[in-house]
Amino acid sequence: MSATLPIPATSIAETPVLRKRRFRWLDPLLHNPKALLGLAILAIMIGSAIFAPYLTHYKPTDFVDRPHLRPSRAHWFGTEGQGKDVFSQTLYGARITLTVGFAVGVLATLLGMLIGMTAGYFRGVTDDLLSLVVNIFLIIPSLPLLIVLSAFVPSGNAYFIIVLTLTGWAWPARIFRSQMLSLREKDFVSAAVVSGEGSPRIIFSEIMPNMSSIIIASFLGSTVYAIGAEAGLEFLGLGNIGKVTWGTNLYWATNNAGLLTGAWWTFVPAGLCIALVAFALVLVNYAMDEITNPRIRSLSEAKDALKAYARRARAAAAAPQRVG
Amino acid sequence: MTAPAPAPPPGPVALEAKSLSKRFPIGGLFSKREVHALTDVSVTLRRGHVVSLVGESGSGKSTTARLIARLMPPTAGEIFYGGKDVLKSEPSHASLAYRGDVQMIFQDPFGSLNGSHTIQHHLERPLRIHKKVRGEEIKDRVDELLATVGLNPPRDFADKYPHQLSGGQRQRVAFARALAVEPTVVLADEPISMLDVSIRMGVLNLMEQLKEERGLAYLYITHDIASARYIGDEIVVMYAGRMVESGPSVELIAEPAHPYTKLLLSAVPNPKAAKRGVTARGEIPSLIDPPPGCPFAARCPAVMDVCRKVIPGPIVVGPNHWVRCHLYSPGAAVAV
Amino acid sequence: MVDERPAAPLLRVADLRVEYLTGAGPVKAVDGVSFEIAPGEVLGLAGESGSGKSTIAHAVMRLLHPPAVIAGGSVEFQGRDVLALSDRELEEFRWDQISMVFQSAMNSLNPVMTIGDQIVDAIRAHRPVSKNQALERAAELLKAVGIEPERLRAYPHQLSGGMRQRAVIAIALALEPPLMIMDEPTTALDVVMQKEIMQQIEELKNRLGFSILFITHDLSLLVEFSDRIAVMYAGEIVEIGPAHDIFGEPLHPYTRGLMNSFPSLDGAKTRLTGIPGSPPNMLNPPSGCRFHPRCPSVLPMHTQVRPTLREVKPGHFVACHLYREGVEA
Repeated sequence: MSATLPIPATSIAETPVLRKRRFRWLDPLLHNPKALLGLAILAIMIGSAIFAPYLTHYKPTDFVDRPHLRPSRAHWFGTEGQGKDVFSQTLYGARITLTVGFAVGVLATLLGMLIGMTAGYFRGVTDDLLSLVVNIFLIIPSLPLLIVLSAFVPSGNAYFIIVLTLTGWAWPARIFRSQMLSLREKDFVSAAVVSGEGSPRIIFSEIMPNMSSIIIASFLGSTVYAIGAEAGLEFLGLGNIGKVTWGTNLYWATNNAGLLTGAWWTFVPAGLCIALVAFALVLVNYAMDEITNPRIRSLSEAKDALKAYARRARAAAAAPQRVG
Repeated sequence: MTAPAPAPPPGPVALEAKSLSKRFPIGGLFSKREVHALTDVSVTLRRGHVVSLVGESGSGKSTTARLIARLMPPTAGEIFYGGKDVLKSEPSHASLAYRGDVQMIFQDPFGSLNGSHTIQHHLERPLRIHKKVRGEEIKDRVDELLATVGLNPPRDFADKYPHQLSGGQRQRVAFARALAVEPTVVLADEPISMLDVSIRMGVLNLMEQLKEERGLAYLYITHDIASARYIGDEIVVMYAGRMVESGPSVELIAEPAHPYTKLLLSAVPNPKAAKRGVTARGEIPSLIDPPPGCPFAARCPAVMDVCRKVIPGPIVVGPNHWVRCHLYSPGAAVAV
Repeated sequence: MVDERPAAPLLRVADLRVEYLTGAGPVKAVDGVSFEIAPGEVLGLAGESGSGKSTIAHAVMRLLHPPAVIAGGSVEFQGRDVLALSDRELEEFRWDQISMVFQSAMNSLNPVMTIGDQIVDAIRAHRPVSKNQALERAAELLKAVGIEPERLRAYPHQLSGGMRQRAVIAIALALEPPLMIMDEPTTALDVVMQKEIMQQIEELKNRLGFSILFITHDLSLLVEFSDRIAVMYAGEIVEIGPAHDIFGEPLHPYTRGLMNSFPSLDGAKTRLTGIPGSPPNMLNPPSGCRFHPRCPSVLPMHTQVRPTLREVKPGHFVACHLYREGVEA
């Protein structure tokens, strides 16, 4: 529906001149409220993980007080079933959880890109074989596979990362393949071929930049998946229960009857943190969508401009004299 | 309006395509159906000479260009370049020498440029790939190319991204990129049909100017027969994947022989001509497993029995002017 | 020839202004456009990209949504103020009073509904008829546009491009609106199909008597088809008058330039120049006469003062400083 607005008495502001600044590409990100919120949350989480020793003098594995103490000034998040400080467990737990999460995000995306883009670009027999591999990994239900793999694989962060990557790469691979299949038909690719450009350069220099928004989205999505899967496995006791992560925090909370005794402070912090990180990643994903998709962007720009226009029109209507 | 200069005699043969055919299999593993996109098309491209390939959608004109540009392999046929059939001498992919000599302009001015790269990058790549100039001279050469296609001041344009240019400017950049490798053959696939009307002539005139300065051989593909006449020395009319008529542009339009050519001419909006309707109805036939005979038989107002059985070979009807139509067979009862 | 137009025009657009609000400032897509369409008349609207012709069509149908706003002017249809219609009134108004055929509308047919169903939908949304009655009407419409009524049961993908476009026209005709807006209806079609459809539309118009606002970039199509032609450039009408006048004696340098962009099919081959330069940046259009950067006859005054439409010959208006009222420069 179109809006009919009164013609303002004063002229609309002059077109702003776009100044050349070094990091201009960051502008859309920094002006987007979703991105700012998401990045802020992530910054807090990552910061707490890095600066944990300065934020609390308790170590997460020390027995510091009586078990199941409510949150107090001495222990901000109380103590858990074995008398360890929950706040420090939450802060230190972030380290492994976030490291594994982002590592899997990066690796799954890279592996997905490698296989998906190769299949999509070369098509034919290569595509058939690689797609077969992708489909196999897609069909196998991921949670049972994760459980089986982690039961057999020695404990250790690296193995955990590998296991999660193996179950998480197939979905992005499919997305990259279909994106490559459609981008490959574009005229600028044909133009590159006619110019004599070789295949590797075409894939990386010509096509990949056009996939950047999907690559970033895939990375963010894979990280969300990884954190959730990691926490899930650890909650089931399949990770290394001796390590301090948000997932193992949850495991011990149930194992030490935190639920039964009503000690909500033993599992709420870890659960909330997982949810917040996932939320933040999804927010940044939405923001990237807005930024890279000009149609969505122009719509929100237009809404802002519309509000400013209406404001000016009202102000002009209120002002008694005409200018110019 | 300046009086037209007499057309110079066409130069030496730059490339010759013979009996190109292209079929696409469709359907699954067990279906043997094929789309006959192109059947028995032959084109000779000479330096300083423009061949206009005219046809509607499905005529196979774009496929012809893509085959000659070696973006895909033909099902049958030969491409003679430098005296050899390149499909035999370099079967798997085109050599750098071929790519450096045969260039292509695409229809969509936006789609043919990569939105992620600057104009500088678009022009620099071919220069580097074909080692046309030394590293320190690249910037100057890019400026030179931009100036040649009328984009001044060149540095301003070089630093821009495609979305910052207008359609006509992008198409000029496409020409600059093609010229970077110093080709002899330029295949122009509907270069102006997506441009605003008022800037089309500018681009066509640029093409003509480049042809005269550099002796380029053009294959100009279009659905607009008027522009085919304007820039073409020779017109080839295509229908349903086949060539149906070919001749010098002015003569062919003044005296069209094939009923399809007549249909095409009758359909062009021509405010100066008296109002008349189209000379045939119906639609372009399906290209999937087509029946034998002339593809225009279903719509032709002058169709005869023989037309449905066999398609005639080229029959000469004038100097350099031939047509594939039974109406002109020696001994045909009526010659229209 | 005395201009005999009935007292009340079917559509009257006065000083219409449409702006696209972007982050970099407002783009004045339509900047003060006025025209009228009489009953049974075909007005051709010619212009290139950025001229604002499609925007006008959408504004008249109230189809604009943010970032586009109607910033001023009026649109009256049979005396009713279209811009003041409520949503309810708009629903009844559209398709019944004015219908529209969009650019490549043939690609915007609903792929999961048969053609018949889509026509029936359009009819039953506005008229209290039974499904069978609507189907009968749909069959009539298909026949009218040259499609066999059996194709009622066909899905869009089963029809060729030309037939789909005819189906779209049939839907637009379903309620016999007095005015039909056609926005580049034949651009996506081959030239032979284009001619057939134009002939079909003309025949329907002569038989049913509706008016048409025909929008296109191809001026040569308009000359054969329309009664009057309006030429748009950079959001304004620069010339408007009877079709044959515009074609036979184009006054505005832009119109002349356009005429000089169509190679002919006969006569000696002469060199055409088109119009040098590029379409203007509507974020910051040229001062004064918007065509001045590309005009061969530009004078200093033209860069300062914006020309307005003036009647230079009976019924023939031009917005150009080179012409003063009744006097040719």
